[in-house]
Amino acid sequence: MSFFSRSSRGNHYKRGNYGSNHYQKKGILGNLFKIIASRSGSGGHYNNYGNQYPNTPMPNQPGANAIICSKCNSQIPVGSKFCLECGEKVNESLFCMNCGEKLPPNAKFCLKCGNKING
Amino acid sequence: MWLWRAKRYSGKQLDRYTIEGPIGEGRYGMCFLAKSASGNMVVIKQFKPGIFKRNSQKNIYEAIILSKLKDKRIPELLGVINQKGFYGFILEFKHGNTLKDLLYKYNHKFTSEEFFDTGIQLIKIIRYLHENGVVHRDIRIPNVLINNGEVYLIDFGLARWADNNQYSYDLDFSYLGDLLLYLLYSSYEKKEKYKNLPWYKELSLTCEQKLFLKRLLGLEAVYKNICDIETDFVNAFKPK
Repeated sequence: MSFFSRSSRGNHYKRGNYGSNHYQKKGILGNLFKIIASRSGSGGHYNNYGNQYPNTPMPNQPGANAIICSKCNSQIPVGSKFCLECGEKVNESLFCMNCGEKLPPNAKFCLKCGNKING
Repeated sequence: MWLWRAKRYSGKQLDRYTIEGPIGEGRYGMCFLAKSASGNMVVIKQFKPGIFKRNSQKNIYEAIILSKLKDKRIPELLGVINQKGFYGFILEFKHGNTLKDLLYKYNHKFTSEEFFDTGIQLIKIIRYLHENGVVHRDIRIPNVLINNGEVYLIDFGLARWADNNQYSYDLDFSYLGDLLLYLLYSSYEKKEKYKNLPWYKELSLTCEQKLFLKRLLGLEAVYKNICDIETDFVNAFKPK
């Protein structure tokens, strides 16, 4: 088990029992201590309540759908304003930024997911 | 390494940007300040060679999340550069000092009014993120900027879409609690030099303030949403 094992699970909560020795410390040793402490275990005192906000839009997970870049033919993950390979700007009026569906001209909403189209 | 890179990249032309010099470094790579042809300052976040490919499924979150967010308190994604082995994101440059510099470089002591102004603005930024389904996961003093009293949140490299499992909103709550303690400790004078006490025994706080911070840090029942945090923060810390 390494120092960073919890960070790889994404559960690195901040500890709650430090005092001035921690919060007023600076420099290499202070930073090193903070890095280790912040990544290496928080005592597991946090609970996941599943605190989802009502009406939060659930964006598509990357890779679930993709737009093809008109310049370099790479797959652009849905939601990105730019091709992550060549940097070409995605025409936001041609594709839904939420689900990647092709849009008819002058569409105000995506016909697939209902997302409002900007501009 | 820093000086070597500063020398290597300073003055270099990338796309339509000219690099002025490095402004930050992280595990991802390096950040440079650059100027566009029209004179606007931008930040170019360069990824270490191979890191983007190796972690591509993780790294694309920053681009997608910043593409979705449109708020002056958050840097806008302006483009992607991929040329001659240099891969990076072009981001809007936000002026100001980081909280880390204010605390440790300039030894700024936050008054109760400044503490409240900074805290409430940061909570409102987190509220905006959470309402858009985003958990930042790295709300730390080097990632919060202040410019003329306005607060900005940068570095979305660890940001993710929130879920009920690995990426829950309360990750941001614990980081917020930790950050607020840094601000409170800026004006704290230690009395007993050799005693190593936790913050709730050292700082002069009301019961309401202690409970608020303990809930953020998971020492008491954790908050369920940022709106409750905003309400309790105002009740506990608003200067009379």
